[in-house]
Amino acid sequence: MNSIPVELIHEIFSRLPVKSIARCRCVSEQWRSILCSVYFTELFLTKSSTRPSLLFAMESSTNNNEFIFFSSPQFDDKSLSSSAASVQLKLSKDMPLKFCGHASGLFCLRRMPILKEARDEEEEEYTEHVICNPSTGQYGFLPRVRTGSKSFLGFDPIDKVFKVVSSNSTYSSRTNVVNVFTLGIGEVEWRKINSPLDHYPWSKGICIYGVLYYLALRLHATTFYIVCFDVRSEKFKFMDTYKFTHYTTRLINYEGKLGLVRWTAYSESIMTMWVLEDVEKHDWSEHLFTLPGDKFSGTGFVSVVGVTATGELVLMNNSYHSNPFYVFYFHPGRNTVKRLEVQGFENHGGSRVYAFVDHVDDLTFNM
Amino acid sequence: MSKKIIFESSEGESFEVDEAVALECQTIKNMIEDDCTDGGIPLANVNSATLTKVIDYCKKHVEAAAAAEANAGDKDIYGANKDIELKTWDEEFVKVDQPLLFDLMLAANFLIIPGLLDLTCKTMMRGKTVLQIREIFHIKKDYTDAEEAEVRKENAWAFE
Repeated sequence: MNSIPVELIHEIFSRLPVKSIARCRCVSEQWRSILCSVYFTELFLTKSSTRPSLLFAMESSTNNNEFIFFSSPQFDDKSLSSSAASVQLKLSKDMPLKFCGHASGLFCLRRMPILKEARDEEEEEYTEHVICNPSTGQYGFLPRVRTGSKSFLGFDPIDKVFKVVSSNSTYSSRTNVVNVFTLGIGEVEWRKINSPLDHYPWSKGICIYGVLYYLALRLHATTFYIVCFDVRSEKFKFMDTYKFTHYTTRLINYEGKLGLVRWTAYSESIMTMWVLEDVEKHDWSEHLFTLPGDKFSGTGFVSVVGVTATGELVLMNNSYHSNPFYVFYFHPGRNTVKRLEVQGFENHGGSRVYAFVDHVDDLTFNM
Repeated sequence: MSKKIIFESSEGESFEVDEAVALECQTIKNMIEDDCTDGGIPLANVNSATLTKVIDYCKKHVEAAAAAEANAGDKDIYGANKDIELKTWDEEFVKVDQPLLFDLMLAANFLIIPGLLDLTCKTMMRGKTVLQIREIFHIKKDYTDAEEAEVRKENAWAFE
Protein backbone atom coordinates (compact mmCIF):
# COMPACT_ATOMS: atom_id res chain seq x y z
CA MET A 1 0.00 0.00 0.00
CA ASN A 2 3.01 2.27 -0.10
CA SER A 3 2.77 3.30 -3.68
CA ILE A 4 -0.51 4.64 -4.82
CA PRO A 5 -0.89 5.37 -8.52
CA VAL A 6 -1.34 9.05 -9.34
CA GLU A 7 -4.50 8.39 -11.31
CA LEU A 8 -5.99 6.76 -8.24
CA ILE A 9 -5.17 9.86 -6.23
CA HIS A 10 -7.17 11.77 -8.83
CA GLU A 11 -9.99 9.23 -8.50
CA ILE A 12 -10.10 9.77 -4.75
CA PHE A 13 -9.92 13.55 -4.98
CA SER A 14 -12.62 13.76 -7.61
CA ARG A 15 -15.04 11.92 -5.30
CA LEU A 16 -14.45 14.04 -2.27
CA PRO A 17 -16.82 16.65 -0.97
CA VAL A 18 -15.49 20.17 -1.43
CA LYS A 19 -14.75 20.57 2.25
CA SER A 20 -12.41 17.59 2.22
CA ILE A 21 -10.71 19.03 -0.84
CA ALA A 22 -10.04 22.23 1.03
CA ARG A 23 -8.54 20.21 3.89
CA CYS A 24 -6.42 18.15 1.50
CA ARG A 25 -4.93 21.36 0.11
CA CYS A 26 -3.35 21.79 3.52
CA VAL A 27 -1.68 18.38 3.43
CA SER A 28 1.22 19.26 1.16
CA GLU A 29 2.37 21.65 -1.52
CA GLN A 30 2.24 18.79 -4.04
CA TRP A 31 -1.38 17.97 -3.20
CA ARG A 32 -2.27 21.62 -3.28
CA SER A 33 -0.84 22.03 -6.76
CA ILE A 34 -2.77 18.95 -7.95
CA LEU A 35 -5.98 20.19 -6.36
CA CYS A 36 -5.61 23.67 -7.86
CA SER A 37 -4.65 22.50 -11.35
CA VAL A 38 -6.89 23.08 -14.35
CA TYR A 39 -6.83 19.36 -15.11
CA PHE A 40 -8.19 18.46 -11.70
CA THR A 41 -10.70 21.31 -11.64
CA GLU A 42 -12.18 20.04 -14.90
CA LEU A 43 -12.17 16.42 -13.77
CA PHE A 44 -13.90 17.45 -10.57
CA LEU A 45 -16.54 19.42 -12.46
CA THR A 46 -17.25 16.43 -14.71
CA LYS A 47 -17.67 14.16 -11.70
CA SER A 48 -19.68 16.60 -9.66
CA SER A 49 -22.07 17.16 -12.57
CA THR A 50 -23.14 13.56 -12.10
CA ARG A 51 -24.12 14.16 -8.47
CA PRO A 52 -25.99 17.45 -8.37
CA SER A 53 -26.99 18.65 -4.96
CA LEU A 54 -29.79 20.67 -3.54
CA LEU A 55 -28.30 23.85 -2.18
CA PHE A 56 -30.01 25.94 0.46
CA ALA A 57 -29.11 29.52 1.24
CA MET A 58 -30.25 30.95 4.54
CA GLU A 59 -30.43 34.70 4.63
CA SER A 60 -29.25 36.45 7.72
CA SER A 61 -31.66 38.35 9.90
CA THR A 62 -31.17 41.68 11.62
CA ASN A 63 -30.10 40.13 14.89
CA ASN A 64 -27.93 37.46 13.28
CA ASN A 65 -25.52 38.45 10.57
CA GLU A 66 -24.72 34.97 9.32
CA PHE A 67 -25.51 34.01 5.77
CA ILE A 68 -25.31 30.22 5.53
CA PHE A 69 -25.17 27.79 2.64
CA PHE A 70 -26.33 24.24 3.30
CA SER A 71 -25.97 21.40 0.91
CA SER A 72 -27.93 18.19 0.71
CA PRO A 73 -27.65 15.37 -1.83
CA GLN A 74 -30.39 15.62 -4.40
CA PHE A 75 -32.99 12.89 -4.16
CA ASP A 76 -32.48 10.17 -6.71
CA ASP A 77 -34.29 6.86 -7.01
CA LYS A 78 -31.97 5.19 -4.55
CA SER A 79 -32.02 7.84 -1.92
CA LEU A 80 -33.27 8.05 1.59
CA SER A 81 -36.39 9.61 3.04
CA SER A 82 -34.49 12.09 5.15
CA SER A 83 -31.21 13.86 4.85
CA ALA A 84 -29.14 16.21 6.91
CA ALA A 85 -28.29 19.49 5.23
CA SER A 86 -24.70 20.20 6.11
CA VAL A 87 -23.36 23.69 6.51
CA GLN A 88 -21.18 24.36 3.51
CA LEU A 89 -20.23 27.98 4.00
CA LYS A 90 -20.98 30.55 6.62
CA LEU A 91 -20.44 34.20 5.80
CA SER A 92 -20.47 36.46 8.75
CA LYS A 93 -20.34 40.18 8.16
CA ASP A 94 -20.97 43.20 10.27
CA MET A 95 -24.28 43.63 8.48
CA PRO A 96 -26.98 41.24 7.29
CA LEU A 97 -26.54 39.85 3.79
CA LYS A 98 -29.42 39.31 1.42
CA PHE A 99 -29.51 36.92 -1.50
CA CYS A 100 -29.83 38.58 -4.89
CA GLY A 101 -28.77 36.24 -7.63
CA HIS A 102 -27.15 33.01 -8.70
CA ALA A 103 -25.85 31.56 -11.93
CA SER A 104 -23.71 28.54 -12.75
CA GLY A 105 -22.64 27.76 -9.18
CA LEU A 106 -21.83 31.34 -8.18
CA PHE A 107 -23.90 33.50 -5.85
CA CYS A 108 -24.35 37.21 -5.50
CA LEU A 109 -25.41 38.73 -2.20
CA ARG A 110 -25.99 42.31 -1.16
CA ARG A 111 -25.00 43.90 2.05
CA MET A 112 -27.80 45.68 3.84
CA PRO A 113 -28.46 48.30 4.97
CA ILE A 114 -27.00 50.60 2.42
CA LEU A 115 -23.89 52.40 3.57
CA LYS A 116 -24.19 56.12 3.97
CA GLU A 117 -21.43 58.54 3.17
CA ALA A 118 -20.97 62.30 3.07
CA ARG A 119 -23.35 62.75 5.97
CA ASP A 120 -23.24 66.51 6.11
CA GLU A 121 -24.13 67.08 2.53
CA GLU A 122 -26.67 65.28 0.49
CA GLU A 123 -26.63 61.68 1.60
CA GLU A 124 -25.35 59.29 -0.96
CA GLU A 125 -26.28 55.69 -0.64
CA TYR A 126 -24.04 52.91 -1.73
CA THR A 127 -24.59 49.22 -2.03
CA GLU A 128 -21.99 46.53 -1.61
CA HIS A 129 -22.21 43.22 -3.44
CA VAL A 130 -20.55 40.02 -2.32
CA ILE A 131 -19.76 37.29 -4.83
CA CYS A 132 -19.19 33.85 -3.42
CA ASN A 133 -18.71 30.26 -4.42
CA PRO A 134 -20.15 28.05 -1.68
CA SER A 135 -18.26 25.08 -3.12
CA THR A 136 -14.83 26.55 -2.46
CA GLY A 137 -15.63 28.94 0.35
CA GLN A 138 -14.18 31.81 -1.63
CA TYR A 139 -15.82 35.20 -1.71
CA GLY A 140 -15.04 38.79 -2.48
CA PHE A 141 -16.56 42.25 -2.56
CA LEU A 142 -17.31 44.30 -5.65
CA PRO A 143 -16.70 48.04 -5.76
CA ARG A 144 -19.48 49.99 -4.13
CA VAL A 145 -22.17 51.35 -6.37
CA ARG A 146 -25.11 53.70 -6.16
CA THR A 147 -27.93 51.59 -7.38
CA GLY A 148 -31.54 50.56 -6.95
CA SER A 149 -33.02 47.83 -4.90
CA LYS A 150 -32.54 44.75 -7.10
CA SER A 151 -29.48 42.98 -8.50
CA PHE A 152 -28.99 39.80 -10.51
CA LEU A 153 -26.19 37.52 -11.58
CA GLY A 154 -25.86 36.44 -15.18
CA PHE A 155 -23.53 33.95 -16.85
CA ASP A 156 -22.42 33.90 -20.46
CA PRO A 157 -21.54 30.25 -21.20
CA ILE A 158 -19.69 31.09 -24.42
CA ASP A 159 -16.97 33.26 -22.90
CA LYS A 160 -17.58 31.82 -19.41
CA VAL A 161 -18.07 35.30 -18.00
CA PHE A 162 -20.24 36.36 -15.07
CA LYS A 163 -21.89 39.76 -14.87
CA VAL A 164 -23.75 41.41 -12.05
CA VAL A 165 -26.70 43.40 -13.31
CA SER A 166 -28.30 45.97 -11.04
CA SER A 167 -31.09 48.29 -12.06
CA ASN A 168 -31.02 51.84 -10.75
CA SER A 169 -34.79 51.71 -10.26
CA THR A 170 -36.62 51.67 -7.00
CA TYR A 171 -40.36 51.07 -6.71
CA SER A 172 -41.13 54.78 -6.58
CA SER A 173 -38.50 55.91 -9.05
CA ARG A 174 -38.26 53.79 -12.18
CA THR A 175 -35.51 54.47 -14.67
CA ASN A 176 -33.87 52.76 -17.63
CA VAL A 177 -30.39 52.97 -16.13
CA VAL A 178 -28.81 49.64 -15.32
CA ASN A 179 -25.43 49.11 -13.67
CA VAL A 180 -23.31 46.25 -14.93
CA PHE A 181 -20.16 44.76 -13.49
CA THR A 182 -18.16 42.07 -15.29
CA LEU A 183 -16.27 39.64 -13.06
CA GLY A 184 -12.79 38.32 -13.68
CA ILE A 185 -11.49 40.92 -16.12
CA GLY A 186 -10.13 43.42 -13.64
CA GLU A 187 -12.88 46.00 -13.92
CA VAL A 188 -12.58 48.59 -11.18
CA GLU A 189 -15.93 50.20 -11.51
CA TRP A 190 -19.46 49.55 -12.60
CA ARG A 191 -20.59 50.51 -16.07
CA LYS A 192 -23.90 52.17 -16.76
CA ILE A 193 -25.99 50.97 -19.63
CA ASN A 194 -29.48 51.94 -20.74
CA SER A 195 -32.34 49.61 -21.29
CA PRO A 196 -34.87 50.65 -23.96
CA LEU A 197 -37.60 50.90 -21.32
CA ASP A 198 -37.82 52.17 -17.78
CA HIS A 199 -38.55 49.26 -15.50
CA TYR A 200 -38.51 48.15 -11.92
CA PRO A 201 -37.35 44.56 -11.39
CA TRP A 202 -39.80 42.65 -9.26
CA SER A 203 -38.91 38.96 -9.05
CA LYS A 204 -35.75 37.00 -8.52
CA GLY A 205 -33.91 36.38 -11.77
CA ILE A 206 -32.97 33.19 -13.52
CA CYS A 207 -30.19 32.75 -16.02
CA ILE A 208 -30.59 30.14 -18.76
CA TYR A 209 -28.06 29.71 -21.58
CA GLY A 210 -26.70 33.22 -21.29
CA VAL A 211 -30.03 34.98 -20.94
CA LEU A 212 -31.07 36.51 -17.66
CA TYR A 213 -34.84 36.66 -17.12
CA TYR A 214 -36.79 38.53 -14.50
CA LEU A 215 -40.23 40.01 -13.97
CA ALA A 216 -40.46 43.78 -13.97
CA LEU A 217 -42.99 46.57 -13.70
CA ARG A 218 -42.94 49.26 -16.35
CA LEU A 219 -43.05 52.98 -15.67
CA HIS A 220 -46.36 53.86 -13.99
CA ALA A 221 -47.73 50.46 -14.87
CA THR A 222 -48.75 47.78 -12.45
CA THR A 223 -48.67 44.89 -14.89
CA PHE A 224 -45.66 42.69 -15.35
CA TYR A 225 -43.25 42.22 -18.17
CA ILE A 226 -40.59 39.63 -18.60
CA VAL A 227 -37.21 41.23 -19.10
CA CYS A 228 -34.73 39.17 -21.13
CA PHE A 229 -31.17 40.37 -20.80
CA ASP A 230 -28.57 38.81 -23.06
CA VAL A 231 -25.52 38.61 -20.80
CA ARG A 232 -23.02 38.58 -23.65
CA SER A 233 -24.37 41.37 -25.87
CA GLU A 234 -25.99 43.27 -22.97
CA LYS A 235 -29.13 43.77 -25.03
CA PHE A 236 -32.57 43.90 -23.45
CA LYS A 237 -35.82 42.44 -24.72
CA PHE A 238 -39.21 42.88 -23.12
CA MET A 239 -42.09 40.45 -23.27
CA ASP A 240 -45.62 41.34 -22.45
CA THR A 241 -46.97 38.52 -20.29
CA TYR A 242 -49.93 40.08 -18.52
CA LYS A 243 -51.96 36.96 -19.21
CA PHE A 244 -50.06 34.75 -16.87
CA THR A 245 -47.86 36.73 -14.59
CA HIS A 246 -48.75 37.76 -11.13
CA TYR A 247 -46.80 38.97 -8.15
CA THR A 248 -46.41 35.39 -6.92
CA THR A 249 -45.20 34.00 -10.26
CA ARG A 250 -41.97 32.07 -10.03
CA LEU A 251 -39.40 31.82 -12.76
CA ILE A 252 -37.80 28.43 -13.18
CA ASN A 253 -35.54 26.62 -15.60
CA TYR A 254 -37.74 23.98 -17.22
CA GLU A 255 -35.55 21.66 -19.27
CA GLY A 256 -33.43 24.55 -20.49
CA LYS A 257 -36.38 26.86 -21.15
CA LEU A 258 -37.93 29.61 -19.11
CA GLY A 259 -40.92 28.38 -17.13
CA LEU A 260 -43.41 30.50 -15.21
CA VAL A 261 -45.27 28.84 -12.38
CA ARG A 262 -48.21 30.23 -10.53
CA TRP A 263 -49.58 27.95 -7.91
CA THR A 264 -50.80 28.05 -4.38
CA ALA A 265 -50.79 24.76 -2.58
CA TYR A 266 -53.68 25.81 -0.35
CA SER A 267 -56.34 26.28 -2.92
CA GLU A 268 -55.38 24.57 -6.13
CA SER A 269 -54.58 21.00 -6.99
CA ILE A 270 -53.80 21.96 -10.57
CA MET A 271 -50.56 23.74 -11.18
CA THR A 272 -50.15 25.68 -14.37
CA MET A 273 -46.80 26.29 -15.92
CA TRP A 274 -46.11 28.32 -19.03
CA VAL A 275 -42.95 27.50 -20.92
CA LEU A 276 -41.27 29.88 -23.31
CA GLU A 277 -40.84 27.86 -26.49
CA ASP A 278 -39.67 30.62 -28.79
CA VAL A 279 -38.26 33.92 -27.59
CA GLU A 280 -38.56 35.67 -30.98
CA LYS A 281 -42.20 34.68 -31.55
CA HIS A 282 -43.15 35.02 -27.88
CA ASP A 283 -44.54 31.54 -28.15
CA TRP A 284 -45.56 29.96 -24.84
CA SER A 285 -46.81 26.46 -24.18
CA GLU A 286 -49.14 25.69 -21.32
CA HIS A 287 -48.61 22.70 -19.04
CA LEU A 288 -51.11 21.55 -16.46
CA PHE A 289 -50.05 19.35 -13.59
CA THR A 290 -52.46 17.72 -11.20
CA LEU A 291 -50.73 17.40 -7.88
CA PRO A 292 -51.83 14.77 -5.43
CA GLY A 293 -52.87 17.31 -2.81
CA ASP A 294 -53.05 14.81 0.04
CA LYS A 295 -49.29 14.41 -0.10
CA PHE A 296 -48.83 17.99 1.02
CA SER A 297 -51.46 18.10 3.72
CA GLY A 298 -50.30 19.14 7.14
CA THR A 299 -46.97 20.40 5.91
CA GLY A 300 -47.77 24.10 5.73
CA PHE A 301 -47.42 26.32 2.71
CA VAL A 302 -45.50 24.68 -0.10
CA SER A 303 -44.11 26.32 -3.21
CA VAL A 304 -42.18 25.36 -6.32
CA VAL A 305 -38.44 25.96 -6.24
CA GLY A 306 -37.34 24.41 -9.50
CA VAL A 307 -37.20 21.48 -11.86
CA THR A 308 -34.40 18.92 -11.88
CA ALA A 309 -32.60 17.86 -15.04
CA THR A 310 -34.64 14.66 -14.86
CA GLY A 311 -37.88 16.62 -15.10
CA GLU A 312 -39.00 16.43 -11.49
CA LEU A 313 -40.59 19.48 -9.92
CA VAL A 314 -39.05 20.34 -6.59
CA LEU A 315 -41.24 21.93 -3.96
CA MET A 316 -40.52 22.92 -0.42
CA ASN A 317 -41.99 24.36 2.74
CA ASN A 318 -42.05 28.10 2.55
CA SER A 319 -40.98 28.59 6.09
CA TYR A 320 -37.84 26.95 7.34
CA HIS A 321 -39.39 27.10 10.78
CA SER A 322 -41.60 24.23 9.65
CA ASN A 323 -40.63 21.25 11.66
CA PRO A 324 -40.07 18.82 10.08
CA PHE A 325 -38.91 20.69 7.00
CA TYR A 326 -39.82 18.89 3.80
CA VAL A 327 -38.68 18.98 0.21
CA PHE A 328 -40.96 17.25 -2.30
CA TYR A 329 -40.08 15.81 -5.68
CA PHE A 330 -43.05 15.60 -7.98
CA HIS A 331 -42.68 13.57 -11.15
CA PRO A 332 -45.36 14.71 -13.62
CA GLY A 333 -45.06 11.70 -15.94
CA ARG A 334 -45.35 9.10 -13.20
CA ASN A 335 -47.55 11.30 -11.02
CA THR A 336 -45.51 10.39 -7.96
CA VAL A 337 -44.45 12.53 -5.05
CA LYS A 338 -41.34 11.72 -3.06
CA ARG A 339 -40.81 13.45 0.21
CA LEU A 340 -37.46 14.26 1.75
CA GLU A 341 -37.14 15.51 5.26
CA VAL A 342 -34.29 17.98 5.56
CA GLN A 343 -32.66 18.39 8.93
CA GLY A 344 -30.14 20.94 10.06
CA PHE A 345 -31.87 24.34 9.94
CA GLU A 346 -33.15 24.18 13.50
CA ASN A 347 -30.32 25.85 15.33
CA HIS A 348 -29.75 28.76 12.99
CA GLY A 349 -31.48 32.05 13.34
CA GLY A 350 -31.71 33.18 9.73
CA SER A 351 -34.68 34.91 8.22
CA ARG A 352 -35.40 33.07 5.01
CA VAL A 353 -34.33 29.98 3.08
CA TYR A 354 -33.86 29.71 -0.67
CA ALA A 355 -33.32 26.42 -2.45
CA PHE A 356 -31.37 25.78 -5.64
CA VAL A 357 -31.92 22.67 -7.67
CA ASP A 358 -29.16 20.83 -9.58
CA HIS A 359 -26.33 22.67 -7.91
CA VAL A 360 -23.01 21.43 -9.24
CA ASP A 361 -19.86 22.07 -7.24
CA ASP A 362 -17.31 23.92 -9.31
CA LEU A 363 -13.88 24.68 -7.88
CA THR A 364 -13.17 27.64 -10.15
CA PHE A 365 -13.58 31.11 -8.77
CA ASN A 366 -12.43 33.99 -10.88
CA MET A 367 -13.49 37.36 -9.64
CA MET B 1 -27.10 -24.39 -11.51
CA SER B 2 -25.37 -21.19 -12.41
CA LYS B 3 -21.93 -21.10 -13.92
CA LYS B 4 -19.00 -20.75 -11.52
CA ILE B 5 -15.91 -18.62 -11.90
CA ILE B 6 -12.71 -19.30 -10.02
CA PHE B 7 -10.53 -16.49 -8.69
CA GLU B 8 -7.02 -17.05 -7.47
CA SER B 9 -5.59 -14.66 -4.90
CA SER B 10 -1.99 -13.48 -4.72
CA GLU B 11 -1.32 -16.25 -2.17
CA GLY B 12 -2.59 -18.82 -4.64
CA GLU B 13 -5.82 -19.52 -2.78
CA SER B 14 -8.87 -20.35 -4.93
CA PHE B 15 -12.27 -18.71 -4.54
CA GLU B 16 -15.30 -20.07 -6.35
CA VAL B 17 -18.06 -17.58 -7.09
CA ASP B 18 -21.25 -17.50 -9.14
CA GLU B 19 -20.81 -15.92 -12.54
CA ALA B 20 -23.43 -13.31 -11.63
CA VAL B 21 -21.26 -12.20 -8.72
CA ALA B 22 -18.11 -12.05 -10.84
CA LEU B 23 -19.96 -9.94 -13.40
CA GLU B 24 -20.05 -7.10 -10.87
CA CYS B 25 -16.41 -6.54 -11.85
CA GLN B 26 -16.16 -4.84 -15.23
CA THR B 27 -12.70 -6.31 -15.81
CA ILE B 28 -13.97 -9.85 -15.24
CA LYS B 29 -17.08 -9.17 -17.29
CA ASN B 30 -14.88 -8.34 -20.27
CA MET B 31 -12.86 -11.52 -19.70
CA ILE B 32 -16.01 -13.64 -19.50
CA GLU B 33 -17.30 -12.09 -22.69
CA ASP B 34 -13.98 -12.82 -24.35
CA ASP B 35 -14.28 -16.36 -23.05
CA CYS B 36 -10.92 -16.45 -21.35
CA THR B 37 -11.85 -17.45 -17.82
CA ASP B 38 -11.41 -21.21 -18.08
CA GLY B 39 -8.99 -22.55 -15.56
CA GLY B 40 -9.52 -19.69 -13.14
CA ILE B 41 -8.56 -16.03 -13.04
CA PRO B 42 -5.28 -15.25 -11.30
CA LEU B 43 -5.38 -11.97 -9.39
CA ALA B 44 -1.72 -11.47 -8.57
CA ASN B 45 -2.21 -8.12 -6.90
CA VAL B 46 -5.19 -8.98 -4.69
CA ASN B 47 -4.55 -10.89 -1.49
CA SER B 48 -6.96 -13.39 0.08
CA ALA B 49 -8.22 -11.09 2.83
CA THR B 50 -9.06 -8.40 0.31
CA LEU B 51 -10.56 -10.82 -2.18
CA THR B 52 -12.85 -12.27 0.50
CA LYS B 53 -14.16 -8.78 1.20
CA VAL B 54 -14.52 -7.95 -2.48
CA ILE B 55 -16.56 -11.11 -3.07
CA ASP B 56 -18.74 -10.28 -0.05
CA TYR B 57 -19.40 -6.87 -1.51
CA CYS B 58 -20.30 -8.20 -4.96
CA LYS B 59 -22.54 -10.93 -3.50
CA LYS B 60 -24.44 -8.46 -1.36
CA HIS B 61 -24.99 -6.09 -4.26
CA VAL B 62 -26.15 -8.86 -6.60
CA GLU B 63 -28.61 -10.09 -3.95
CA ALA B 64 -29.82 -6.56 -3.23
CA ALA B 65 -30.41 -5.89 -6.93
CA ALA B 66 -32.38 -9.14 -7.26
CA ALA B 67 -34.43 -8.35 -4.16
CA ALA B 68 -35.15 -4.83 -5.39
CA GLU B 69 -36.41 -6.24 -8.66
CA ALA B 70 -38.67 -8.73 -6.92
CA ASN B 71 -40.12 -6.07 -4.63
CA ALA B 72 -40.37 -3.33 -7.22
CA GLY B 73 -43.92 -2.53 -6.13
CA ASP B 74 -43.08 -2.54 -2.46
CA LYS B 75 -42.60 1.15 -1.83
CA ASP B 76 -44.06 3.48 0.72
CA ILE B 77 -46.39 6.28 -0.37
CA TYR B 78 -43.50 8.60 -1.08
CA GLY B 79 -41.70 6.04 -3.23
CA ALA B 80 -38.79 5.44 -0.89
CA ASN B 81 -37.68 1.84 -1.10
CA LYS B 82 -35.50 -0.40 0.97
CA ASP B 83 -32.17 0.98 -0.18
CA ILE B 84 -31.51 2.33 3.27
CA GLU B 85 -30.58 -1.19 4.30
CA LEU B 86 -27.97 -1.49 1.56
CA LYS B 87 -26.50 1.90 2.43
CA THR B 88 -26.20 0.88 6.04
CA TRP B 89 -24.60 -2.38 4.96
CA ASP B 90 -22.08 -0.46 2.82
CA GLU B 91 -21.22 1.79 5.73
CA GLU B 92 -20.57 -1.19 7.96
CA PHE B 93 -18.62 -2.89 5.19
CA VAL B 94 -15.97 -0.15 5.04
CA LYS B 95 -15.46 -0.03 8.78
CA VAL B 96 -12.10 -1.74 8.40
CA ASP B 97 -8.55 -0.75 9.20
CA GLN B 98 -6.77 1.67 6.93
CA PRO B 99 -4.47 -0.83 5.11
CA LEU B 100 -7.41 -3.07 4.19
CA LEU B 101 -9.44 -0.07 3.05
CA PHE B 102 -6.51 0.90 0.87
CA ASP B 103 -6.25 -2.60 -0.61
CA LEU B 104 -9.99 -2.67 -1.24
CA MET B 105 -9.72 0.59 -3.12
CA LEU B 106 -6.84 -0.69 -5.24
CA ALA B 107 -8.76 -3.90 -5.95
CA ALA B 108 -11.90 -1.97 -6.89
CA ASN B 109 -9.81 0.15 -9.21
CA PHE B 110 -8.15 -2.86 -10.81
CA LEU B 111 -11.28 -5.00 -11.10
CA ILE B 112 -13.39 -1.96 -12.04
CA ILE B 113 -16.18 -2.14 -9.49
CA PRO B 114 -17.53 1.43 -9.66
CA GLY B 115 -19.70 1.16 -6.54
CA LEU B 116 -16.87 -0.17 -4.39
CA LEU B 117 -14.36 2.32 -5.78
CA ASP B 118 -16.77 5.11 -4.96
CA LEU B 119 -17.39 3.79 -1.49
CA THR B 120 -13.73 3.26 -0.58
CA CYS B 121 -12.54 6.57 -2.07
CA LYS B 122 -15.19 8.49 -0.16
CA THR B 123 -14.37 6.72 3.08
CA MET B 124 -10.64 7.23 2.71
CA MET B 125 -10.61 10.87 3.85
CA ARG B 126 -13.79 11.03 5.87
CA GLY B 127 -13.36 12.70 9.22
CA LYS B 128 -9.57 12.64 8.91
CA THR B 129 -7.40 15.48 10.09
CA VAL B 130 -4.57 16.84 7.96
CA LEU B 131 -2.08 15.00 10.17
CA GLN B 132 -3.92 11.70 9.83
CA ILE B 133 -4.06 12.08 6.05
CA ARG B 134 -0.30 12.66 5.95
CA GLU B 135 0.17 9.50 7.97
CA ILE B 136 -2.12 7.34 5.83
CA PHE B 137 -0.57 8.43 2.55
CA HIS B 138 3.00 8.61 3.86
CA ILE B 139 3.31 12.24 2.95
CA LYS B 140 6.00 14.44 4.35
CA LYS B 141 4.93 17.94 5.15
CA ASP B 142 6.64 20.17 2.59
CA TYR B 143 5.15 23.40 3.89
CA THR B 144 7.01 25.63 6.27
CA ASP B 145 5.02 26.43 9.38
CA ALA B 146 4.29 29.88 7.99
CA GLU B 147 3.15 28.45 4.65
CA GLU B 148 0.96 25.93 6.38
CA ALA B 149 -0.62 28.63 8.52
CA GLU B 150 -1.31 30.64 5.36
CA VAL B 151 -2.91 27.76 3.44
CA ARG B 152 -4.96 26.80 6.47
CA LYS B 153 -6.18 30.37 6.71
CA GLU B 154 -7.22 30.33 3.05
CA ASN B 155 -9.19 27.15 3.66
CA ALA B 156 -10.32 28.00 7.17
CA TRP B 157 -13.99 27.46 6.27
CA ALA B 158 -13.31 23.75 5.78
CA PHE B 159 -12.17 23.33 9.37
CA GLU B 160 -15.26 24.78 11.00
